[in-house]
Amino acid sequence: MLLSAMLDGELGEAELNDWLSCDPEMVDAATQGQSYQLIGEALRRQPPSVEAGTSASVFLAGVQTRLRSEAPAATTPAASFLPLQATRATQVRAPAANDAVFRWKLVAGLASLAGVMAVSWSVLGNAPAGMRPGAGAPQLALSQPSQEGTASVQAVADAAPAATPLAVNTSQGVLIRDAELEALMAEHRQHGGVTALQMPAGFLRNATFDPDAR
Amino acid sequence: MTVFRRQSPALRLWLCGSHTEPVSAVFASLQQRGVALLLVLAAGLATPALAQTASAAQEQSRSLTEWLARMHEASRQRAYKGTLVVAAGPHMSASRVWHVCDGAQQMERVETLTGAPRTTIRRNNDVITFAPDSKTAWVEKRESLGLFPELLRAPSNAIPEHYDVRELGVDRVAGYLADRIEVVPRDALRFGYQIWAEQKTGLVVKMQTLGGQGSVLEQVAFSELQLNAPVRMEALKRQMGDTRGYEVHKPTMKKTTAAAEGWQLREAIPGFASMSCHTRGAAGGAEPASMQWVFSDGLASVSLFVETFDPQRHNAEKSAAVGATHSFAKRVDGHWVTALGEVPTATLRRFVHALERTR
Repeated sequence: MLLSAMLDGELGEAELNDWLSCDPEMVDAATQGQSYQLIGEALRRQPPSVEAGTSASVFLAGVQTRLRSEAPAATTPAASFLPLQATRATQVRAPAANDAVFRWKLVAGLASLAGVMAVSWSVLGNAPAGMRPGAGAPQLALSQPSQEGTASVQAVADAAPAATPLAVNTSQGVLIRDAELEALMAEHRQHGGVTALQMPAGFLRNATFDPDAR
Repeated sequence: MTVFRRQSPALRLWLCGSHTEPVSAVFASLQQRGVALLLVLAAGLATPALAQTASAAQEQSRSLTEWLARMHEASRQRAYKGTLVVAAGPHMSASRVWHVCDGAQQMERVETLTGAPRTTIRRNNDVITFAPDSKTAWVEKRESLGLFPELLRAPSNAIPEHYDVRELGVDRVAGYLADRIEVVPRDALRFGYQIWAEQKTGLVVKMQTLGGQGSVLEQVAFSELQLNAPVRMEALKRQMGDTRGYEVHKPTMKKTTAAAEGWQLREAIPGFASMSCHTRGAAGGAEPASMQWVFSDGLASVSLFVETFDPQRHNAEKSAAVGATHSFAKRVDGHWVTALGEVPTATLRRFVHALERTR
């Protein structure tokens, strides 16, 4: 699997270029060797946490313990909003447990595979326009709602059992299949990104990351 | 030794005549840095202990506002090109970026390397997006791009009230040494950020959005970067204006206010201020207009989308997340409200539960 090979650092430069559909005329040949340095760096780096340097099983156990300790924000009742924590800024935060985010998510994904029900889904033709419930929506097998950070895409039906499936687990990870929500996210990216970080990074990020290809 | 290069914050404030610290604190700070300087001079080389002292002396050399202003200025003053990679959840995207600025205007070209081919060209607030596959182009004006540096100007600059900053040393990103800082939220209503700013220019070369426990929700980084690249503004202008063969669309948006549309927040969400509000409807009026009300705390933004309730499509409350972008949707006073933003779901819930109809 291409993504897996990339995560393992086994993917050659030529294959990476193919995968990313680089236009050779647009990419400076002299810098191609550096093009995916970030990816390699992120993959090779061990999280500089307590778990680093220990066996994979210990690391996995640490991740699972940490995940269990996280309160799932999506299921926080409205009446118990988290109080302001004025002292939080003074806390010394440990380096991100999933700083090497791709590897971390791969581990988390593999861990979740053991516990998550078998998933199958079949997508009808022209899925993006047909995701509305009652309008011929594809039958999606919901994954168990996962904690924030376990899987980056999550869906939780809060008031009732999931009548509107949002997330599916695939071999490529959890994917959102909600065309309406994707459209709103595109609108938010285009008109809602009011942030002091917009100019240095936000605009570039939004112009780059646009999965619905608007 | 960078200890020679940087001014201490106390010294800088003192020289600017705008210091607010007690004089004793200023002198104590100067004295502390003076000791470090003398030690380095006496030793003639940086032993580990001295390096540690110098490092300590550099702590918090800039305030959060100063860091953000420096990053913003870096993008205004430099020409560069590079490859940008975005990882958000299971999605990984990459693009080639060209950026040029002549002091008055900024131009950027972003060409996607993943997914559908798409080229976005920006001149200040004007943005055009070309989709070569469908021969379609979207022309729009993004007002949010022009709000900076107002976001940092007092008294509207509330960012330091809700975020703290920590300087974490130096890393190498895309071949450049970069200062690593962490922007730490002061409460649970927002996420934190870890930002790498190229050491000499301050250009943001990598940024992570951090969730609870410091987990990385999303990251953006240059994998390859060429500063001071020969990017020609004239060429970008020409490309931006060349829509031959493309069907050009413009969004049908109408500026409004939440009050005019009959909505208000029962209670303010700490740190978040209303930034803009507009309605959007189909050109032929086939569908009723939907409203987008945008809030920001300076770093994170939240959109409240309000549309007519449709029982066929809107049934149960739901929440979802892609990378750092979370959403929460719920029926409110006969309407369907979707809150979306780079904040925890709990924050979005507060927005939705605070929203009420005024008529």
